[in-house]
Amino acid sequence: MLRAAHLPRSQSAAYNFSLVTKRWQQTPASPGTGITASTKSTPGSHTTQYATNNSSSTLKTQTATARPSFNAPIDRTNNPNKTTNTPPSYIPPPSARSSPPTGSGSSGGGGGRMIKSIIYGVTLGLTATLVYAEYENGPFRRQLESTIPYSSTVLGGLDQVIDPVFGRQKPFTKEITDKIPDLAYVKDKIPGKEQIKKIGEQVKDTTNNVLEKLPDKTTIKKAGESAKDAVSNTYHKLTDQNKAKGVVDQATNQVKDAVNTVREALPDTAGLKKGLTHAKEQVQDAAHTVKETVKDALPLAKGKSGEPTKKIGDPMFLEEAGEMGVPPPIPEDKYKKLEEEINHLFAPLSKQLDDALTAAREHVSHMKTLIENPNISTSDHETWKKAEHLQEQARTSYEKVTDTLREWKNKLIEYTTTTSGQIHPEEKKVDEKYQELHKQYTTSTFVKNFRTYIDDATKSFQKEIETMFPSLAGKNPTQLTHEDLQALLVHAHRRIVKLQNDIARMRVNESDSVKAAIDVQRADIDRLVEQRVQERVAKTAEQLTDELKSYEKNLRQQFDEQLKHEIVLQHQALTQYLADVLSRQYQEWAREYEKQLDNESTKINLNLQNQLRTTLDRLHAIEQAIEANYDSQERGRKAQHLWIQAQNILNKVVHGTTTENDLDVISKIVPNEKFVQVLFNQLKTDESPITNEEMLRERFSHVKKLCRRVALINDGHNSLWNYFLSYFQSLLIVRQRDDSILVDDAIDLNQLDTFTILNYVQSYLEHNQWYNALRLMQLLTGEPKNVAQSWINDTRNYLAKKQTSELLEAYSNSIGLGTLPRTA
Amino acid sequence: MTTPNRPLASEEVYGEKWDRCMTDTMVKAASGLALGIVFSAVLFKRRPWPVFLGTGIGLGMGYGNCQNDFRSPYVHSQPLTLAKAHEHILTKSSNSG
Repeated sequence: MLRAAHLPRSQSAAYNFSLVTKRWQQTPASPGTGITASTKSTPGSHTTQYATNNSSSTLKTQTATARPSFNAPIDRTNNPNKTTNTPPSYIPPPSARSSPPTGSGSSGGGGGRMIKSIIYGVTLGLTATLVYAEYENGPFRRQLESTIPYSSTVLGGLDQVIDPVFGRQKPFTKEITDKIPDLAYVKDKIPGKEQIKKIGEQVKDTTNNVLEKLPDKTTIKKAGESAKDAVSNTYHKLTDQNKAKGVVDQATNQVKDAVNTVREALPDTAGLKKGLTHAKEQVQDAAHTVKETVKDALPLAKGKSGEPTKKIGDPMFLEEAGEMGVPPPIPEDKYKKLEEEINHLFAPLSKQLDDALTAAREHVSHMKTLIENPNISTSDHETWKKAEHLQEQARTSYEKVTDTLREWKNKLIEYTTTTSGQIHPEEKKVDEKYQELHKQYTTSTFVKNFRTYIDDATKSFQKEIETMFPSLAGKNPTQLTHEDLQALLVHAHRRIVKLQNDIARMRVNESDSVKAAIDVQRADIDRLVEQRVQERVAKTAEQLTDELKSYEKNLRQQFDEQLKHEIVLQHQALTQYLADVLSRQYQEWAREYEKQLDNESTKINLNLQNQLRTTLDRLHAIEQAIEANYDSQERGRKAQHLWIQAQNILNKVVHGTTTENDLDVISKIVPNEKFVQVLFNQLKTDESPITNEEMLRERFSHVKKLCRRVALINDGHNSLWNYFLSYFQSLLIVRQRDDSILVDDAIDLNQLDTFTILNYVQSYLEHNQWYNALRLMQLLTGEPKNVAQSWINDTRNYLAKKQTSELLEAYSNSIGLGTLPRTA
Repeated sequence: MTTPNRPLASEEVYGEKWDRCMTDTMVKAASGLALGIVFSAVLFKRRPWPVFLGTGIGLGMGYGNCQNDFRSPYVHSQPLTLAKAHEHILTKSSNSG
């Protein structure tokens, strides 16, 4: 850029030289045209100091004629040819045709010369304009290019030749192509708010996913439980089966033992065997069922602990008690008939008996009253008749009774024989009654004779008294004397003694006879009894043996039944015991299992909670870190933004393209910073024209040239001649660039003149030391100062703006430094 | 010539002055020449001297104008811009200071 802005002084010399040589080469070719060309002024080149180069422009035309071939543009290249081409109608300087003094040339040549001259003039003008445009490379060229359509292509083509040949650098007419770096791109690269938010959200999403993927408590529990179930299942299956097997085996063994003992204990009878086998089968079935139930109960580990299995504990069936032995059946018909007859007889018999009994009793009672009543005499016939009547009654009834009784007895005998010894139940009663009756009847009969006895007694007593004591017979009982009484008493006593002796004698006789009779009877009876007894004994023996047998059978059955019962009970007890044991075991194991399960699950629970907690803590920490990071990043981003904007502004200031927008953006970014506000206001109110360094450099080169050219002109009254002189001087003075100023401050302020100042400033500018350059430039004096004044002002303003923007940038840097992420 | 749509830079003043000068001179010279030709043709029987005279007068006038124009900083209000610049500086310094 610098070099492009700075046309080296030497270039013009070389240029001149080339032009001169070309001219020297070309002059024999066309002298006529040279003459005509020299007199023409070049109306196209109205910018001025190159008027002296007009002569060289003619050479340019010739050179231009020599190289049409490789030019890209089309029509225009043909035009410089001096063949007879009709010139296009849009040739710019029509005045060029009018002004060339046709009058100055010889009017005698006729039309041909006229035309030739016209053509020459036109081409000359064109070449002159082109050459000048090329040379000037500035506003004239731009104007030309803007007004004339294809001139840019022509000039571009010329550029392609001229630039390599003359070493001319990049032309100024081109826009500065390397733009300010698009900071928007950079801005985009910074993670904006949205992106940071996105990132934060992403993090949150990932954390949420993680959290969701963590199993819930319930599922954890379920998983733990299922795990525990599996573990416990395997455990149980491993252990319980063995234990259950052992228990069941034990139970079966016990049962078997019980059965065997029972079997051994019992006597070996067929029925017993059968019952036993039956019992055994039952017990085995019971054991089997127990086994089954135990086996089934085991895998139900998932059930609630302590729940007793309901299969065990069914009470085994109890056999019913055996029935009593049935007595051997009597031939029923006879039995029944006899019984009927007996019953039939019994009722009237009993009635008769009763009647008889009552009669007898009546009689006896009556007689008793008679006897006890001493006042009764024998003459009382009514009572005696009654008594007799009663006695008669009793006697008749008694006879009836005896008859019926006899009958009945016969029947009974039959009955007893048929029933083999079994006595009719009524018989006893009848016997009793009969005995009572008999007693009563005897008393009644005895009492019957009471009256006769009384009569007889009185009679005899009277007789006795008469015989023995005749003297007493006639006396009344009141008339008896003491001696009589004694005599009576003696008599009575003697009589009584005698009677008593008689009674005794008779009693003895009686007793003897009775004894004998009794003995005889007894012997009889004994014999009978013996017989009967033997009969009876046999019968009863038979009966008893039967009974015994039946009893034995019964007993046996009872034994069986009891045994069964016992077995059943034992079995029950066993099963109950088994069940108890099993349930207890089960409960124990279930409890243990539950405990372990709880342990494990709480462990897992705690673990997971710990993990959750740590994860959550980490999450929180991460979130906080992210937020803090976000904050700091936010601030950093702001600072960066500010910095970028400041850079932007700086660059724009440097390049001269600031806009209001940039400044407004600044105010939007950091609305709170006072310093920034001050700077911003300053920048905003800066009304100086927008420049950039390029322009300033360019201008400086221009300014420098001008200054050199007017170096001799000072503040006094200067004439044009002075201008020419100073110009001439500028041509002659050749200064090397003096870079010593940069190394040591070797400026002698007293010996400054324009050229040195300009040199120094040139060096400064080339080393980008604008401030120094500006300071030095201000030391110019005279016309150069005037010439450079606006440059100085602009540079000053530009530098001020740059300084402000640099301040802004520095400030943004300072802010940004504070928000850098803290890394260790 | 060029209408200044912005305040003229000082270095261009010089250029513009020269433009003016040259054009002016040329115009004057040309007009002088023309007049001279006219006069020569009309009044002075095609003698060459009016032409030269006219041209010379023209050139001289132009020269004088140029010179006067170049001296004009001390007549025009150029110093005011300097003062304005100074004011600008002063205000700037007061603002920032």
